[in-house]
Amino acid sequence: MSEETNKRLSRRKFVVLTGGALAASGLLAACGDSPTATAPAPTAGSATTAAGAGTATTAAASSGGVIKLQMWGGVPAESGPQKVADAWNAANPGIQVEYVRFVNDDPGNLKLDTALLATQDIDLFMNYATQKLQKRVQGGLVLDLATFKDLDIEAKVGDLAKPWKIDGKYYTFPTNIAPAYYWLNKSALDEAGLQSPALNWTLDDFKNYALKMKKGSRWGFVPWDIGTLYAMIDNSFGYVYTKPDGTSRYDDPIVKKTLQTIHDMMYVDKSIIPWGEQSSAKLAVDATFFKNEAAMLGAGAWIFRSSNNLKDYPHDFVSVFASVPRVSSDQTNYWQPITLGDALSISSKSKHPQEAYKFMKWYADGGMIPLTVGGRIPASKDFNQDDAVKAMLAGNDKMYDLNSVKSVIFNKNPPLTSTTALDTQVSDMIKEEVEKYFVTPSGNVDTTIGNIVRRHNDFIKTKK
Amino acid sequence: MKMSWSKRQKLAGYLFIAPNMIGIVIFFLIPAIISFVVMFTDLDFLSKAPVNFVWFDNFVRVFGDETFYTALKNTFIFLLAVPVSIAIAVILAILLNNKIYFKPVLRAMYFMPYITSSVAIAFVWSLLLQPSTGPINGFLRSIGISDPPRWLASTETSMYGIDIIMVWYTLGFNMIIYLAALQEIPTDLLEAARIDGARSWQTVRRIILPLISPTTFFLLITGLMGAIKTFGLIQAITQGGPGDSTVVLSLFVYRTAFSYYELGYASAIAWVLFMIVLVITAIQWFGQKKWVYSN
Amino acid sequence: MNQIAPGPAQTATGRVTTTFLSYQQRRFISKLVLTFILTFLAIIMVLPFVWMISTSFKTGNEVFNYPVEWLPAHPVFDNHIKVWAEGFLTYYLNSLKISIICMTGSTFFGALAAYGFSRIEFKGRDQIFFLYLAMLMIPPQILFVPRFIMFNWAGIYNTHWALILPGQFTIFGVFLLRQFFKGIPREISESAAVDGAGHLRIFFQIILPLAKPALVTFAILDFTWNWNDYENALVFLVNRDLYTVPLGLTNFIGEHNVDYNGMMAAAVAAIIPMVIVFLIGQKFIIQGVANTGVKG
Repeated sequence: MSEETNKRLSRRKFVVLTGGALAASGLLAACGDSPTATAPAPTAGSATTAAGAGTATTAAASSGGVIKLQMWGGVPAESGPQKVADAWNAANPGIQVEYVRFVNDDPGNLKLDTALLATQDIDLFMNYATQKLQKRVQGGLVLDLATFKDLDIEAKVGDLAKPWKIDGKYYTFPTNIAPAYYWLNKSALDEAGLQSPALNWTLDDFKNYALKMKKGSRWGFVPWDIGTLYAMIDNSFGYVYTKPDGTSRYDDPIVKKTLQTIHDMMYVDKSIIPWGEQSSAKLAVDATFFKNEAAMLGAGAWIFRSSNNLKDYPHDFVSVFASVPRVSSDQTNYWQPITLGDALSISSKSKHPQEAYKFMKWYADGGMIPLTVGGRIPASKDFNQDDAVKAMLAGNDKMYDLNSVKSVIFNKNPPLTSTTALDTQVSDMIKEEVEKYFVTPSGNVDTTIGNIVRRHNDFIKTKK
Repeated sequence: MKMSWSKRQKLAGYLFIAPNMIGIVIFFLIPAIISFVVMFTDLDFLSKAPVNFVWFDNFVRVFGDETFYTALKNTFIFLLAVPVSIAIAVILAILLNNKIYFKPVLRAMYFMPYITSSVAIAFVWSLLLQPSTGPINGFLRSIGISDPPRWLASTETSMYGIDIIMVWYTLGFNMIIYLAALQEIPTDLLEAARIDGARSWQTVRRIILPLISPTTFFLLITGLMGAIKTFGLIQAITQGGPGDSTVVLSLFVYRTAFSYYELGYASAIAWVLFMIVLVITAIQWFGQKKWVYSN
Repeated sequence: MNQIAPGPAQTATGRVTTTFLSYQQRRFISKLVLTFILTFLAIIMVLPFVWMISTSFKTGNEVFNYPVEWLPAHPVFDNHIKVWAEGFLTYYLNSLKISIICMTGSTFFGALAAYGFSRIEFKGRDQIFFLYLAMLMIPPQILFVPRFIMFNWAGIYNTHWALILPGQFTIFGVFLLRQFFKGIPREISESAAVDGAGHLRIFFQIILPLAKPALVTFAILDFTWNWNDYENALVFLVNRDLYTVPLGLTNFIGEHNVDYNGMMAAAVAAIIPMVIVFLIGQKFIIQGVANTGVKG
């Protein structure tokens, strides 16, 4: 309370100081300069106009014993979170949750971070990247979940939680399984006389599938974004990006094989739309797939929102699912991109951490179910995953190849040896170099790899 | 209040600029000084750990950073848009100041890009410049250019694609400032120019262009400064891609500060950028006597 | 600059037609051709704007149909209704309030300073002005965090003050107006000074009316900048009821897709005040000519 008053006081001081200085100088200018003028002191006038304009809305006082919690997330309120909050509020009249949406891009995350720094209003917030969470932990903005003795994250959601650990501690509760996988058009498969791909299919198999399914104006494959086109590299590395001597691992033959295969698919097989065309045409990727303009789509669970929307995305084919192809068949440590996302944290400044924690557990154990239509499956073991899949298909079971849905989403990975994500600077740099290669028909893969390795090593040096 | 004329002048001068200057000091100068100090530290937006003075390490890093040189090159290509836009704007403004039909509507139309949503700009221009299906390349093919540039889809030409959009975008802005300047030219001169059609180009060259040269000077200086600081439009159209082919210095600063939170490093890049603008501006400032008309 | 062709229409039609057309006819034709060319260029200028309007009347995926349907096949008003049903009015009023206060303040303080910099001789003037210019060269991105710290300390973070106070002060405006004030002949103010008028009176009664086109031009520009200011509003405003129009537009960015229909409906609404300001302002610019035509 006293901090609130202090803030108000200093605000008033600041406004008065600035306004006062202006008014004074205006008056001085008026009388000091021209004694004949009827000193209109316009500066003072406009300063008072402005004074009426401010709105102080920092007060979030709890009225009548009702505790108010504020939760920030990146999903638009109407895509589920509002229903979540409504359901909770109906069941818990004493603890009312307000959902605030932030756009999960750089400016949006900056907004969240400044708000976390400057206000005490936020109780819970979502993290969508471990790198962002790490910064927040460094800044002391996040509550260590070890405070809550009855919580065992790994028991709840399994080993997949490990990449979210910061300095050996859990500051966040990953609530959702977020796998990336390929969508295939069953009719196109049948036409080409192909079977659903095996779970351990390879890059060469994929290339072959794309070539065979490409037909007329239909592409063989369309990626969600450029990252989809080289995800196999990350999957092969499994969070280990450097060699034992600390230098970049990107000169691994796997990198060359991946990049070259995709480049060939664009410019030799012409089974993937050249990346430059796709990005500059602002292609609506999901629509491309459902309009049968591409036989395969590299994306993830969020496509269910479009797929279930038969009005805007009319289609009559069955969707089959395939895992992300491995680079070669002998890879024993290939990690499918089945990660946990929507990591819920409690602000270290929250005035009601216990209540926030209560909400967090409820959310993870099934409170989040209104979000499954958009492809989110609760990660918690205490939730029946069959029920989640059912909710995700939204009654359109006939449109999906059920066996492949489950086998792909719940595919088991070998245990991870490291869980530290790549620095954003490095992953951005790799994206740039790969993009340059993919948009250039005559691009040279060795130059690209040389650039990546050199710039990666440079970065490692500056961070030492 | 008895004082000498020059003292009164001095006081009057200070008093006239004081209201504005107080604000500039508080909202520009002080933050600038803070960022100047930050440049010598390893400050991270969210780090609580003690901040260290690393002195010139950030500069060493700037000049060893490949992205810096790419961004520097891209920035210079980007700046080409400024004189081109000014040159077209001066023609437009003179024409639009003439007797033509629908004058107010046309003026408003030329100003539209400046207030159109950047999302719409990005979308429509991406379609216009689309290499295989876009109308611009369609036109180029129809006049016999069999292999037109791939514009935003290629690392070689993307920056020039951005230049085209930038010229289009700033045209209206430059034009309305020129229009205001043209209003200051005595109307009888312009009338005389209009009556004698054959000599109207001469009038433009001998009378109008010299008379509005202070505006041209102003637009060049502020245009280059503005262009060097522009990142929003590029962010909306290409996000710096493909690859890093449209990353300009201000976008580089923006990313370093707001995506990576490396405030010390971002400040160092920004101050290097500042020095570049300072040099460009100084050259223009001292070169102005050669061509800028003053009364 | 001198190499630029005078516009093909003028020379081409002018030369070919001189021999057998009267002056009146020649003038009519050149006026017509000029209008035609300028209209054609103007259409290119408004294409994205036309797309905005057309998209705002489309449904779902029609946006991505290729080639672009400039006239929606089945125009709907849903998007526009949705925009106003979702609290856009609050953002609109906030934006109006902030933009108008900033426009008024910065034009006035800017004009005062520009007068000082252009029409009063005093020691240190040019040095201070160069400092101004230098500050115009600083990339604004690095001023954000210091400002955030200052505003937070002062308690104006998450209030409209965080936009209104800095918006009162302009460097660009001072530079622009100074440039125009310098163009006003010295004799006019000197004769007034001889009559005993002080600087304030010269400023209000002579310079401001004479510089109306420049003042209005700056006011128009300043209004659009404040109206479109996204970065400052994004970082400094947290509470929804304080949001401005550019923040309202981000509501249409979905998690994986952009709702172009809704966003363009909002963007069309957002552009209206700027168009009005421009049209009103343009009138003033032209009136300014009429009033001050006797110069030189």
